Amino acid sequence: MDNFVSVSKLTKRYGDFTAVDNLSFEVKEREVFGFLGPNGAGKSTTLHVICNLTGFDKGEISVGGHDLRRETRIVKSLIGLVPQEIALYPTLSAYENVAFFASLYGLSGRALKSAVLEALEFVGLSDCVKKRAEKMSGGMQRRLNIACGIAHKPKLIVMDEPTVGVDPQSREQIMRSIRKLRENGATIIYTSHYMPEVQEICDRIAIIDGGRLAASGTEEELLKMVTDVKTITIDCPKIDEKIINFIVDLPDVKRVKYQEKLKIEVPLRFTGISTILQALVDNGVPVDNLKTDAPNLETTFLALTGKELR
Amino acid sequence: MIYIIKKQFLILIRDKGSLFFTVLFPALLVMILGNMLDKLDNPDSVIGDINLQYIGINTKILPKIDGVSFIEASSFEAAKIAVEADAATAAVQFSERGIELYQGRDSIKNRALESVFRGISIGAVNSEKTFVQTKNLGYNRTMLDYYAVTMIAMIVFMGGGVSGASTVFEERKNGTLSRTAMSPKSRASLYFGTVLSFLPQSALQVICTMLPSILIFNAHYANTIAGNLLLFSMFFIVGISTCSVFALVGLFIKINPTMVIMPAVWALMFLSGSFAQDVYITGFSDILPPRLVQNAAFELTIFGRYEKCVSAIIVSAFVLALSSVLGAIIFSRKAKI
Repeated sequence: MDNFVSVSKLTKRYGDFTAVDNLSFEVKEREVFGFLGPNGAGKSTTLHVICNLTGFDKGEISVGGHDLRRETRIVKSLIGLVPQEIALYPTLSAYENVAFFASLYGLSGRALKSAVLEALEFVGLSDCVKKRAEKMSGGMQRRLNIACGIAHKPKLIVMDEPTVGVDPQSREQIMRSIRKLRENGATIIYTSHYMPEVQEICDRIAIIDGGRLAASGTEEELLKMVTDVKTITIDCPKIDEKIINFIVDLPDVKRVKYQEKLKIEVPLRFTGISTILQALVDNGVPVDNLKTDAPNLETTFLALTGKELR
Repeated sequence: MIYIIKKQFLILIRDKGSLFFTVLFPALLVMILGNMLDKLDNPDSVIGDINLQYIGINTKILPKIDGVSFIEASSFEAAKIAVEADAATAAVQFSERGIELYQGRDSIKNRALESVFRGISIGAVNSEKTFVQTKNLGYNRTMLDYYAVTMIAMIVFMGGGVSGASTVFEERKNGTLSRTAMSPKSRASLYFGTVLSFLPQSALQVICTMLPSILIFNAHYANTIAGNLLLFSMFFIVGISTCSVFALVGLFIKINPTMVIMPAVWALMFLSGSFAQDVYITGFSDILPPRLVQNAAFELTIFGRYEKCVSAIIVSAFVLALSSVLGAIIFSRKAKI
């Protein structure tokens, strides 16, 4: 797949503060690209620059093969934004909100009407066409927010935490919509603080911290960057040093320690759990519970940035 | 741009705050003021005879007005003494500099006299009827007739100011400003569309003040349909230009404009003085916009002179164009919305 979005050496400063520092990444056509970072990492600034809501100091950005600075109008026509904050006119109905924003992209007449109804159906709001935005629940407003961003069928959809504060049903509806958008050929840049969402929906992920790119790649590639071990945790009473040494000597076991629970670090493909359990049983050690913690994005993120995601 | 106008109009008629200031507040003001002034004012009451002692002009060229008699005095000082002794309503001296009027204690007669002498044209002595005689000036105009004009001016400036500044503020608060600005439409066209969207609002404000005052309280504005259309046009375009100027201000203020603009417009109205002139408080300046607009309206409604109204329309149109262009440039170049 070709790159649909190309960001090269992007730098954005606010006075002495550098919000984005020499950032480079590509988003392939028709992929869902996750953008992760702690608060203040520069995610929103990067998205705002791509959407031409704010200027930038250095670098080059192209969307769909068009340079953002030289062909701004064309680039803008390719993008649909679903902002983090709900951006709707409270006293306008669902139809009127979508129709207004779609009209700004040149749609009119029957084409406009058809696009609006299609967008509302897409997000599951066909029954609320005449309902005012202020009368809708938070989840419905989020879906309407999405409808306003996609009605004009943009090639690139930028979604800034589209599911924040919504109920699980609405979240599921939104996730279904995003999958459909991808199937329909849209390229999506998606930011979220909710790791399971990112893992579920994104093809590739970029981790940004302090305005710089910490890492990017598929989930598997990112996990491998940080660690190739998993931790086996066994709930049992304190055990003899002799048993610990036995476990340490087992092939592929990297580290063993006991701190209220027995924790054993092993490679991701370790298959000797039954040997460990047998050793414990043979020595009369009762086992209450066993758990395996494989590395995940959360731990990867923490390892790469040193920060919690929230 | 038509979609912006349509969107703003829908917001106007659905938003309780906007609806209040545009439709209800003017109508309410008319109802309250009209009721109050209706009871205080008897348009058919006779002002009484007015005896004027004058000097400095030939009797033959003095206007002939029922109830007004002119007695030639030996000197202006003697005429003044007569006024102070309540032997005359007022003393008048005609000279090259103009008309000097020394008024007595009767405030109602004094107001009538001011109207009379504003309407006097010394050069028109051969015409059978003066402005005063044609309009029956000052005798049949009610208090509401005077206040109605002031009321419309207050509403267009206040309503226009708050609405203009609030438009940008509300868009920013709703988050829709960013969303609109990132569309392929140029920011200049978006801004011009917003300015044009003030058209229905401005029309509604003037209509909601003029119509109830005419239909319910029999307020008089201009004497002819053409005059009333001209008056409406003036207030209409003053309203839009006020919206436009304050929309430009709204690009810069980040707090609720009502808290800032409302007191500022009140101060402007007070300092203008014409609202206060009817209660005998002189304004701070004769050149503030509300004062100029009200004077233009009074010139048309009381004296039938339209020149100041036309000037007000031209100046307002210029202000509208300038503020729109400036606003569009600033909005286009603003680095961060």
